[in-house]
Amino acid sequence: MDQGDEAPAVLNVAGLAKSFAGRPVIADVSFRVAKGEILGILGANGAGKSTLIGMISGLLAPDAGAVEIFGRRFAGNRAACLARMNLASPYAALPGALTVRQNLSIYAALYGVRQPGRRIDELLEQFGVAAQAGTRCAKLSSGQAIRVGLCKALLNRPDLLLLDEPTVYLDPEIAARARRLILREREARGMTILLTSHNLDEIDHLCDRVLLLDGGRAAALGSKLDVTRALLGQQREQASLGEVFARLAREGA
Amino acid sequence: MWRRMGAIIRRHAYEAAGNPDRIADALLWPCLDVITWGFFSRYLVRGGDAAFAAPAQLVGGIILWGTFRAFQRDIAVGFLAEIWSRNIAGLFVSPLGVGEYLAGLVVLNLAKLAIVLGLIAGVCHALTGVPGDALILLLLPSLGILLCFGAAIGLFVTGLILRFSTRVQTLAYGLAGLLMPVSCVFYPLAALPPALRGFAGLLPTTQAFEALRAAMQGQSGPAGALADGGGGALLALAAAGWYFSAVWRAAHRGGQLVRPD
Repeated sequence: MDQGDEAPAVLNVAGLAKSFAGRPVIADVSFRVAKGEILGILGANGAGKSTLIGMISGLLAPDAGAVEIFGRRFAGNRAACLARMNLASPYAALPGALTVRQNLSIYAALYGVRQPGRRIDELLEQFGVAAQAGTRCAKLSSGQAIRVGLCKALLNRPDLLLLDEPTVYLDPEIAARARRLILREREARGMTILLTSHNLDEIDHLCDRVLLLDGGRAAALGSKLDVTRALLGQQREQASLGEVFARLAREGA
Repeated sequence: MWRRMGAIIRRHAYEAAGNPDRIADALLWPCLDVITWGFFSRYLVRGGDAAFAAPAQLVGGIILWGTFRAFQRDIAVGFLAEIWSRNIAGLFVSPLGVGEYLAGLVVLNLAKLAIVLGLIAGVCHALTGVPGDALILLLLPSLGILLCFGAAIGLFVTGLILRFSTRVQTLAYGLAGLLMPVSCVFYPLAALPPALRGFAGLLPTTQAFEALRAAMQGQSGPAGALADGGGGALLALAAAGWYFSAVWRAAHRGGQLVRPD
């Protein structure tokens, strides 16, 4: 049985569907994510990963279906849900004309973070960008900008964190450090994480379960071994997300 | 709500403070306009009974039009800045509501306006001899109409940018300017060709400047123009609010907030 079916769900997605110009991008996707769980969303380009994250974060209205977060329907409780969530995405940058500290202090105020100065210092230190606190965001390297984006995403100590390609542009050492910090936050507070990535090692390393999207449909959902078996045959003894992804890209589910 | 509005005010204040172009747009150019046209109007009048009224009409027109245009532009450009910096998604996955965001922008621009008007009053009095404080008091009723109409146009343009992306961003700077010839800033409505008078008379800007002229010349009738202009501006603001809400909902359906532009 899936972990998401046993524990109380932090996120409950039921029958989500979305089309653009008549073309279905997400079709009848349902899943649950339990407290403290990390669910990876895996799929080729155009599989609907970012669209799904967009609908869960409230940036995109679904055509059908519902999203429940912390036991409440998102649609009628937007601000209360969002106060306990956060997002890191390459599509969510920070204004380049402002310094790192200015940007983070503004987001701290938007989320009502207590003792914002201390929290900002702590995160900048953890992500190795303390020296850039006074630098304008436009002057940051791609890797530094991603790390500052992760600081922003953890600023309000979210109970549900949405990570859309969180370590893209990071060199392997920094990416590993970012993953360790994310795992530490999860272990310390039971943070629930929804993660999309093209980095199969990352999905393998971080995620408890995987949702495999193919052409907007949920092709498989479960542990890494479950997903491997669903796509590559029940006789498989070991999870192999690399083979799953290659098969998906080549032939679809 | 206030905390989140305050955050938006700070966000744009930080950006303006670090950008010499924005400081020049907000403070320097309005003052230079007033100085230049103040000297010119003094040269035209050279004493007599019209020593206050004529220069004051010209300078008042400059101040009011500049204020109206800057207020409209800064609301639209404020939102545009979020698109340029790809900050939309971050802002609206926080508990911030779009109404709070827009209210923050309006409050910031009102505060900026108060500073600019104070500065202009001082400059005006010191360099051109036109009593700036008395002039600005006289301008206030018309200013109210223009700010309301400026907010309406700013909101409408913001909706257009959200709907059609940055392809139409030039409207943020130019839409108010298109109305200038028919807004009767420096001449009465009667000076326009008859074919344009009907349309021009419907504009809150025209009524605001008609009221200003009547007040400065001590004529009766500004109350009627102010009422017409105020009603028109409120109607325009309601229509712009309705349009923006419709575009915002469509953007939620169409994915423009996930990846604007």
